[in-house]
Amino acid sequence: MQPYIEQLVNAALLGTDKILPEYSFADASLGQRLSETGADREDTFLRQAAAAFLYEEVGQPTQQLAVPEQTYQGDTGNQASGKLGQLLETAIRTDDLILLHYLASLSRPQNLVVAPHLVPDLLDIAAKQGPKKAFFAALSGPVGQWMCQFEPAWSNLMTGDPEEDFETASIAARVTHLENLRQRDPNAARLLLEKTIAAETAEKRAVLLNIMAKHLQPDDEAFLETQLKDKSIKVRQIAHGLLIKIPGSRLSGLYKSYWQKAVKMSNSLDLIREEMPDNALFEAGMEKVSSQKSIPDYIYYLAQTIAALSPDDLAQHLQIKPAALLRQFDKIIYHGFFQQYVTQSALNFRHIEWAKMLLKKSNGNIDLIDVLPKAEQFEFYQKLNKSHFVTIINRLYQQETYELFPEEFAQFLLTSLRNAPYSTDTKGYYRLGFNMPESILTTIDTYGRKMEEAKNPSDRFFINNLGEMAKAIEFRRQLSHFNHSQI
Amino acid sequence: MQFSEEQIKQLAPDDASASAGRQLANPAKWVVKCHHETALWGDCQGSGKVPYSTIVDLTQLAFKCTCPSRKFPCKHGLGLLFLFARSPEVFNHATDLAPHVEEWMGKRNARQAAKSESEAKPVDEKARQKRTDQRTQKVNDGVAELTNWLKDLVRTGIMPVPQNAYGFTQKIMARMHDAQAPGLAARLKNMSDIKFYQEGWQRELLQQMAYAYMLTSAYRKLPDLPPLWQEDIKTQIGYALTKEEVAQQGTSVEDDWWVAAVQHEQQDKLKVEKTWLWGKNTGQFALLLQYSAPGQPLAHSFLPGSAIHAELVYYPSVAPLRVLVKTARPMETNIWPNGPDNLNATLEALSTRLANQPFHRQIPVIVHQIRLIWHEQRWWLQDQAGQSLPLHQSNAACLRMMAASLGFPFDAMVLWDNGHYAVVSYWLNQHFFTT
Repeated sequence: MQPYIEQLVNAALLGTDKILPEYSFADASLGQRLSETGADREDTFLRQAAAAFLYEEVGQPTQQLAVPEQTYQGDTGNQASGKLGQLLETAIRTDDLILLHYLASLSRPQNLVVAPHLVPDLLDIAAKQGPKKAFFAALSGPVGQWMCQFEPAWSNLMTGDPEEDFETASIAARVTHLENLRQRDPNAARLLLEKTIAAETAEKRAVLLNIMAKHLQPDDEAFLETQLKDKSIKVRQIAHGLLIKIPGSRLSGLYKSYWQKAVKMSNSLDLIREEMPDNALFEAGMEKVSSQKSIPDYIYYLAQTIAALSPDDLAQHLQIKPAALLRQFDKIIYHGFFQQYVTQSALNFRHIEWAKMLLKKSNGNIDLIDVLPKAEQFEFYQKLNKSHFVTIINRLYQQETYELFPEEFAQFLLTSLRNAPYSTDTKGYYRLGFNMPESILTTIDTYGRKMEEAKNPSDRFFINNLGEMAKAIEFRRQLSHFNHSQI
Repeated sequence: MQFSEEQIKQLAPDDASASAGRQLANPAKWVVKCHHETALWGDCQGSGKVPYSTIVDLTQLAFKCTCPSRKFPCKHGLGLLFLFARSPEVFNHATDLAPHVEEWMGKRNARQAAKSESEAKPVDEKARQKRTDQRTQKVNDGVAELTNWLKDLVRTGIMPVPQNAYGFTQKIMARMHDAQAPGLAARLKNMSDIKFYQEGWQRELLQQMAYAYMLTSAYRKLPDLPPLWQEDIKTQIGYALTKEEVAQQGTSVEDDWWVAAVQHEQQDKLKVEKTWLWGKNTGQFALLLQYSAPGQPLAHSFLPGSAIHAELVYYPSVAPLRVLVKTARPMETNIWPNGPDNLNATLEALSTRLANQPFHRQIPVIVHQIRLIWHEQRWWLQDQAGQSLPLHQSNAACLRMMAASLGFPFDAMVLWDNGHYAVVSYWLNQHFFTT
C-alpha cells in the first residue's frame, strides 16, 4: 500500500472530486475527528493533508549510519601564519591570482601551506589554472590531498605518487612529476619517458619531450635519436633541437663536419656552393629545399647549420673570435637572411657576447635579453624601450620571479608608463609592483598628489593604477622578512 | 573591539562587495586612516580627483562614505574595517574625533533621539479604530476568497498547474495584496516559485496549499483563540505590529547574546537581513528581522560570532522568536553556546517547538559535537552515536566545513528550514565559521 502522503498527492493531482483517500494516522482518532468535522470534501482533504505533513515533519527520524572513519589523521603541514597567512586568505577569498602566485612562490621553499578551512577555495582556484594547477594546489598541502577525494573536479589536481600510475595521471600531474624527477634524477626521468612516450598523443609527446631540455646530458642522446623518427614533425623538431645542444652528439658532429667543409676564411667568409651536407643531416631534419624566395639551397643549408652550432664552434673552425665572426656575417651578401639563424644560435647556446652584439642592432630579437645575466638585462630593456615598450612590459608581466628591479630601472619604468599609460592594464601595474623597490613609493606618492590636477583620462588611469602598484609594494613590504632570493 | 575578516565579510551586501572591500584593505589605498575608540575614518583614493571620505561608527557599526555607490555598506566602509582587522597598527590613534566624524555621529544620535520622540507622539484612536475595522473586513474577504481558491484547486486537481506555472497564482495574489494580507500573498508567491520542472513539485505544492489552508482555517476561528495565538495568526496573515505595540505586549529580555548568524535575502526590491541571536542565560534564540531599501542603512549591524549585551523585546507569540532591539552594545568577550550532543534530542526539541507553533518554518538549534560525513553521494551530520541527518546545503559549503573540521566533531547552529537541515554557523577550537 502507498504511504499516506503519496495517496494524498495522487488525490490532489487528479482532484478530490474523483478520489478522496482514507485517512491513515498513527493516532486514528485524529483522522476520525478531521473527517467528522470537515465542512466538505475539500475542507476534509486539505486539513488531512496539513496534518499528515506536520506529522511527517515532527516525526522525522535520524538514521543510524555506519560509515568508515572519515577523519583526517595525518599532519596538517606547516601552516602559513601571521601576515603571510592573512594575505593568503585575502588572495584566495578575492580570487587574486597575482597575489596568490607571489605568496605561493614565497611559501613553496619553506613548504608552507594554507589553513585547512581555505583548502576547498584554493583547490577550486587551482582547478581552473591549466598548466599551473599543480603549482597552486601544492599550497593546500596534505589536507588538500585528502580533500581531493570529496570532489571529482579536484581528483587530478594532486596525485600522491604519479609514478605508480604515470600513464593514467593527468597531463599536468605527469608534467610536474617528470619535471621534479628530471631535477632530482635526470636518468630516471628519461627512462620513465622512454617507457611511456609511445602511448601518448603527438601533442603530449611534444610537451613531455620538452622537459628533457633541463639537465640535458650525453646519456640522453640515444633516446632522443629514436625520437627523430617520430611521426609528428613537432616531436622531431624538439628532438632535433635537443640533440644539437648535446656536446659531441652525432648530429652536432654532422653539422660541424659540414660547416668545416662549406665555409672557409680568407679575407672574408667564403661560402662554398658545391659542398653538400651529409644525407644523414637531411634524415635528421635539415630541410633540403630552400623555402625562401631568392635564397639558394646551399645558403639555406648553411643558415640551418649556423643555428645548430654554437658561436664558439662556428668561430673555432675558422680560427677567429666569435665577435669577429659575427662581424664577418654582416659583410656577406645574405647577411639579412642569416640574421635570424645567427640569433637562433645565440639563443640555443646562450651566447652572451653574440646576444649583446645582436641586441645593439636596431632589429635585435628581444628574446636575446633572456641570454644575458639578470643584472645586465635592465640596461638593454631601457635601450630597447622606444620600439619595444609593450613587449617589454608583457615580458616583465609574465615573468615568474620576484627579484627587485634596480632603482634606476624602476624609475625608467614609471617614466615610460607615464608616457604610455595604456601599455598595460590594471593587472599589469599590479604585477609589476611586486618587483618594484620600496623606494619607488616616493615617486608614486608624488604622482598621486598630482591627481587633482590630472585632467585627461590617461593621466587618471596612470595615477589610479599606480595605486595598484603601491598595493603590491605594500604587500611585499609586509612580507619583507621572507627570503625573496629563494623565489 | 576586535573583528575577524569572516565577521566583516558577513556585513557585506554581496560577495562582490566583500571581495572589493578586501582589495581595499591596503594602507597604500588610504591617504588618511584614523582610529578612535568609537569610530574609524579614512580617505580612500578612488578614480575621482577627491578621495572618498569614509567613516565607520564602531559603537553601532554604522557606515558613511562619500562615494556614489548604492550598496550599503560600500566597499570603502568594508575596506576600512578589513584594514583595521588586519593591520590596526597602520591607523593613527586619535584622542578626539575629526570634526566631520563628530558632526556625522552627532547627527545620527540626534536623529535617533528625534525618532524616539516622534514615536512617542499620541495617535488619533478613533481614526485608528476605523482603519483597523476596514482592514479586518478586507482581510476577512480575502481569507474567504483564498479558502475557496484552494478548495477549487484541489477539487479539480493540480495536474495542469505546471502548464501555467507563472500565472496560476497571479490573480489571487493580487487579490491578497488588495485585501491587505501580504502574508498570504507571500505564500502564494512561494507556490508560484516552486520548480515545476523538477520531480517532487506535486508534493511541495500540496504541502504549501495545505499549510495555507491551515492558516485560513485558523484565521476564521481567530476570536476563539487565546491572545498569543491570535497574534501569531495575524502575523502570518501579514499584520505588522508597531514597535510601540511590541514594546507594550512583548516580553523584554536583557541578556548577553551571541550573534549566531546573519543571513541576507532579497524580497523584490527590499533587502532582508536575518540576525540569529542566542541568549547566554536563557539559552533561547531570537530573530532580528530588518528590511532596507537599496542604499539604505540598517538600524542594527551585528558581527556574526561576536557577543553583545542587549535588551531585546520578543514579539508576542506562543513560541517567541522574532525580536526588536531596545538597547545593544558590543562585548569584548566571546560566547560559545551549548546544546545537546545527540541528534535525537535535537529533533525532539525541534518537534516540540514545531508542534507548539507549526507556522514557524525556520527553527534554529544548537548541536554539540557533531561531525560531517560523506555517505551515498551526499553530506550528513552525524552524532557520536552514529545517528545521522541528511544536510540540505551546497556542496561548496559542506566541503569548506569538512576541510575546517578535518572530519572531527564540531559545534554548530543548525537551521531547520521547511523540513530540511542546514548548518548556518559552526565553531571548533575557538574558531568561528559561517557557511
